[in-house]
Amino acid sequence: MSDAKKPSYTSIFNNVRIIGQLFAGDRLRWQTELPIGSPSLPFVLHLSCFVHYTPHIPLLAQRILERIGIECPILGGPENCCGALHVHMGDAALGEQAARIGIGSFRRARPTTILSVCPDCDEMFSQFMPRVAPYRHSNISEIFVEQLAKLKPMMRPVNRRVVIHSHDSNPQRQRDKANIEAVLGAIPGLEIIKADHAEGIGPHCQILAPMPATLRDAMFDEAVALGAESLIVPYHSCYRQHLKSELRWPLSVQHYISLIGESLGLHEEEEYKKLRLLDDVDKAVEMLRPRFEPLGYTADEVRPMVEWAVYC
Amino acid sequence: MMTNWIPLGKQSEFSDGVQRRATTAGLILVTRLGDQVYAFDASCPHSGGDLRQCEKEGSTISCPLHGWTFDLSRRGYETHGFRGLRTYATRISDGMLFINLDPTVDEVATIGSD
Repeated sequence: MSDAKKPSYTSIFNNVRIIGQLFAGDRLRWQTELPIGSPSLPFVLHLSCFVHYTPHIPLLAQRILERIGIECPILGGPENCCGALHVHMGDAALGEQAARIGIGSFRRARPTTILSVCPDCDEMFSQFMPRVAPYRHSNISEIFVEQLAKLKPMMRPVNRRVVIHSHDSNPQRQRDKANIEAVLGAIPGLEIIKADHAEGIGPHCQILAPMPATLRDAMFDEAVALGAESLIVPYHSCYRQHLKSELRWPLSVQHYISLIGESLGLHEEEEYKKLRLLDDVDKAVEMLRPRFEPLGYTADEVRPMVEWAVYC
Repeated sequence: MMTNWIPLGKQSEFSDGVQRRATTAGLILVTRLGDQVYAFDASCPHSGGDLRQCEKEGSTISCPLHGWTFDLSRRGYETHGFRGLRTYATRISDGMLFINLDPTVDEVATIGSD
């Protein structure tokens, strides 16, 4: 990315902090660091930077894990950035530094397992993990499969026909794909339709490398032709990129964790989707006004943030 | 009186960018924001990020690692409410830039104030 087009880290992180706070309200509770001397935690859920835009995903992940007896505090905020943002911006050294700081922060929490919902975080933290790993880093899809015997009896029917969008650019993403199919396959009533054009490019649908429009159109056209009612996405980035397609195709876009939650009777509002489907930045800002005004922000301050985060 | 003031170098050495100097208090950075000259710790108080790579906007500087943002005109206050950055009083005298390590001294040098 050339410097002329490069947004500042200050503005990006500020956006994550403020939009994240506005979207989550007081529902999502997370910490930027755990105090030294706190007891060892079996599981910690890592909330990556841009997942703050879609708080329903970590909220539901946390509630699903609670259902099966796993208490899982959330460590998040830009303070625990994996460094992928820096790498994408061309600052590999800063990215490595951020990843190592993040690993140090997790290590201080003395967890057994760090759970991630973000493919970039998976890759950055794996790349810079010490040779003797102080904890297990795992995409959350692995845990859902490991705990499927506990989850399955709680799953209620979801009578829906779905196509699963996926990425299989590397072994971890292939495992995610298999894990997601296995967990969703356990939901009674859910019909997973095989599709030929549901594969994304790269490790996930990145803002800097989105799924090309022709491939996206082929994916949605095929899903509709096959009679799907929903396109299920594996990552928050795919969710952000594809949900606006609800305005054009007659099917919903849903993150797979939401679908697991739905089968367990768990629901969280999807603020990001509500704002994006308004298809109007001014209306989106107005919808957020009751949240930003009590915090002392003005519409003029919030508007560019909404534009950047939701209408990018 | 210049008691407790430590010379960092000629004023002209700090005309642009972010300059680093070693002092008894550790590494200190000096930068100009407008006509004013600010001195502060070289490492971000969050996780030790190198503030030579800071992003500057108005009276603030930000650490590129995680975006902690410090208002130098408010003695290094972190704008999101996190830990602040230690800043040092600055003064220009006889064409030299001085800093004072005493945290109770609150003074910011202005270019051309000599």
